[in-house]
Amino acid sequence: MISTIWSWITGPTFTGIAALASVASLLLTIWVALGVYRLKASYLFSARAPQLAKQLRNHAANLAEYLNDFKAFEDKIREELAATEVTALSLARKIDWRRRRTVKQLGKAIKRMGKKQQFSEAELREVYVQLVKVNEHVKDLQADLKWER
Amino acid sequence: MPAKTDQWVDAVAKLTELTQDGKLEWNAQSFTDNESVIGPTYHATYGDKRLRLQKRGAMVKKKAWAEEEWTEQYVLEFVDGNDKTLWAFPQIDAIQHLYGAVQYQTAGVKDFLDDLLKQ
Repeated sequence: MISTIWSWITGPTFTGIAALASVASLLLTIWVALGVYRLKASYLFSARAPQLAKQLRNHAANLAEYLNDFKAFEDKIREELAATEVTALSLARKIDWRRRRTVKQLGKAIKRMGKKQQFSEAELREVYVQLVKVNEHVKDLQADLKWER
Repeated sequence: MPAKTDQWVDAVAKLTELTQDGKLEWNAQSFTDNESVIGPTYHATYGDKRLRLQKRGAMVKKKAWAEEEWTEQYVLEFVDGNDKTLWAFPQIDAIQHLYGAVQYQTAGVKDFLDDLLKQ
């Protein structure tokens, strides 16, 4: 009896089933890990996004105002861009990974501008438009989250 | 990001740019028969389209159990010769920025600052 069970366990059928079960459990572990990661990201975003989104919207409104007279507001624009970069990069760490790239790109574009001694009105306008798009994007995500709760 | 929203952002940002560059001129009109309109109504013509820009406010009950709260929105529309709405742009932040640029232009802030600082 024992030898029959032993030969079945060590036989090719059982080994095959065991191998399949291992693969299935690995996939299940990955799926659960991804779920936990997404849940964590979703809570972090829900908690921090409203404040960061509001800050980003204020930055966009200020930049739009400074674009009324680019030359007169040059110093203020630099200050505003520096603050916008910090907010954007902070948001990039908390936002859904599928949309993280857009926010990161905005942060990087601002960083590149900040390094320049001088930048043009057209360059600032490009960053402004990118910022407004990110804001719409975040508003969209927040609206989606309301339905997921 | 929805491509359609990007398109509206690009369009309104372009109108803001044209306004700030003085290539799109807006006229302020104080009178309106719409009670929800706050401040002046602005009109401009781009191509064959007549644009109307307004700030509107209303008491809105956002949730069934919540109290009414004051909500403001900026509305950009195409209107006909009788000022009737033909179509309204979707609600995006860029419209508020356009409103700021139009106020700045129609109030003549830039010219005022240039004149003042020259003296």
